[in-house]
Amino acid sequence: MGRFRCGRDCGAAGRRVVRDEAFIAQAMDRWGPAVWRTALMHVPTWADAEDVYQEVFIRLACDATEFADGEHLKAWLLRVALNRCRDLARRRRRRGEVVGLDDIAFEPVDPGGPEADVLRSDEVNRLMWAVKALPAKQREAVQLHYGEGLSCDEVARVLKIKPSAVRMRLKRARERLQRELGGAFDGEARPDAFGVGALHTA
Amino acid sequence: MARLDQMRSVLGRCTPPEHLRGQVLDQVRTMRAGQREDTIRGAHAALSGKVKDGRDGRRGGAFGHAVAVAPGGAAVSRRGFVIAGAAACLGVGAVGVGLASRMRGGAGSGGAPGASGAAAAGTDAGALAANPFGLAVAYADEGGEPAEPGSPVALEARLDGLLPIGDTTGWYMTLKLNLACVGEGIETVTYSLAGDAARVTDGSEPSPVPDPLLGTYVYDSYEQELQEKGVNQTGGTVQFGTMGDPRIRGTEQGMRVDDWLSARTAERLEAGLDPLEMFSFTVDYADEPGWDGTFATEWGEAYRVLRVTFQDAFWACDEVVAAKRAWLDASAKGGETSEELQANQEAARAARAAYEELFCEVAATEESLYAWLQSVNRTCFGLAAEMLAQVTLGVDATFADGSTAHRDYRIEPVENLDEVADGRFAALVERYGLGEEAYDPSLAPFWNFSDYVPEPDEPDERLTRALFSIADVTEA
Repeated sequence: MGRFRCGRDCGAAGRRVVRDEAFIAQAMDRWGPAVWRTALMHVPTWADAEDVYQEVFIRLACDATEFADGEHLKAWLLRVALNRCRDLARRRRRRGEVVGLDDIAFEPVDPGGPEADVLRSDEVNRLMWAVKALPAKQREAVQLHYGEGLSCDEVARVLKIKPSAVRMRLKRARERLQRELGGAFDGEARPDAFGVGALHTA
Repeated sequence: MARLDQMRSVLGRCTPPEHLRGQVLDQVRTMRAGQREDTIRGAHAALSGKVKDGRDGRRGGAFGHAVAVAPGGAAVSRRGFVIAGAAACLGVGAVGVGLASRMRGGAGSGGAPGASGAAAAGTDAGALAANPFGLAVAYADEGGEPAEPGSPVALEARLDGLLPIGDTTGWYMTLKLNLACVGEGIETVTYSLAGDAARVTDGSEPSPVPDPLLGTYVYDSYEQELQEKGVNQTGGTVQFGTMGDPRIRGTEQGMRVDDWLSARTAERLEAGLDPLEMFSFTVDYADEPGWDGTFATEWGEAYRVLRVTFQDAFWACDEVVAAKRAWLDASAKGGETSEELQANQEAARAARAAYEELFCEVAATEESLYAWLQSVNRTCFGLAAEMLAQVTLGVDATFADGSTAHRDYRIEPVENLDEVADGRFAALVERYGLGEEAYDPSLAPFWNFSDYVPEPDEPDERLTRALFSIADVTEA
């Protein structure tokens, strides 16, 4: 169960809900999974991810930004989610807290599917953990680009950096993963070959 | 063998726990219920006489059907009215019609997220940000009526105009070029920078930048190419902020990157121009900016920013910073022989040790570190002001009838720039803390808040105080 903290992070003292409930619900339906995946990849525990998820959509409820289209909204949500994750990390660092990673297993949804063996493999799990252990800036770029399928330009807009910086972060991340995983890692990106997959908590 | 592109497949079906959706919606309902009393009070206050001069409200039966007439006579829906009332309760100086209409198109919309929403511009006739660049010329608005074409043009600065973006303490500064005005009949606006320091360049960040991991410079490959061609990037510049990557643009035009870059570089060099210098560009007045405030120019996408660099002066601003520069320079040296390489590496280690000794002195306590960073930060604003004083910002408007107007502006620091800069720094540190990065000699003094949450929960007057003003210096 997430620990809801709108009173602090949403700024209940000064913020008001300005959006329809239906808008928030539809935003969660459409972009909630992306926000959830982002949170999971950038905070150490499941409970933190739940906090981040709730804070993001409560902030959306209180925010008056006019979105040009769905991609604009998605970028806004991802940016806010990343900011919440960074906030959490900063608060923890200031308090000197060390939080262990939850035991999260990455497994395919369809155990009988054609790619299940690959997706279930230790190599994929090791890769996911290695990505989670990347420095924050590299991890953000990797998650948005490879995890969410955003182009480098789109990642650049979410992170407010230039595309060449995104490419640099991705390059460094691949190099680091290659060092970490050695022969178990293929640094070359290929077209998406798999249709299904899932993330389950242990 | 695992591949990164498998991430999407593994994560693709990952969905948030079902209870989260309900918790969020429950909280929204709770918050909205908590607002109801305030809303009712605000609405009653407005209906009972606070809204005058054609704004008298009419109650249509139950409160739930209340309708008011907002300034200008436009009917405002209950939603718009309620929001206006809520804004009044909060002491927000919002303009009723503008706010209401914007909310209908955006925040208050019941439309599906993802559906194309009405753009803000155009729904608010009084909005200053009518022009995509946020900087425009307009017919002088004397007596409330637009003047005739050919009349003098004017420029206004919004409250948050010319404030830093990212609050980076370093050898560059990015200012929000949020100057604006509205006008009739303008077709295009050409922006130009004139003066020795003026440039319009590509790249959202100046390069080279020191890399904390490598402890040395990292050159953007494009700019490195230009440097190899003799283009000096080390002096100070004032630039419009564009993010168009010329390599990408070349690709889009069906050319190989190198071919496109070479062609453009050669073209400009042949014309006696610095390949990076793009002194002016033109935008259509009616163009809408992209969702992130960018808009298309002939040089690529541009942001509403003015970027100021002052590399040489920054690196000489105090002995600690100068020592860091010496280390970075030393560490960038390679060697053609192993002996030369070893000697350079030893020199780099010595330079690093010298710098770190000085840094440790200023970082000995939080107070001393604060004082040093504040001093560097203050110096940066002063250096930016010096660079800005060297350029003139020109604005040329072309009107529908073919007439044109031109004005020149200069950006000047406020009289108490140091005081305002110190106040801004103090506010940021109070809000975000110095952060562990400030204690890292490989990062310091490149201290910035841009990576962290920029959205303040509560407004801080010190963060909105003007640092620069704009003066019309058009010669008669």
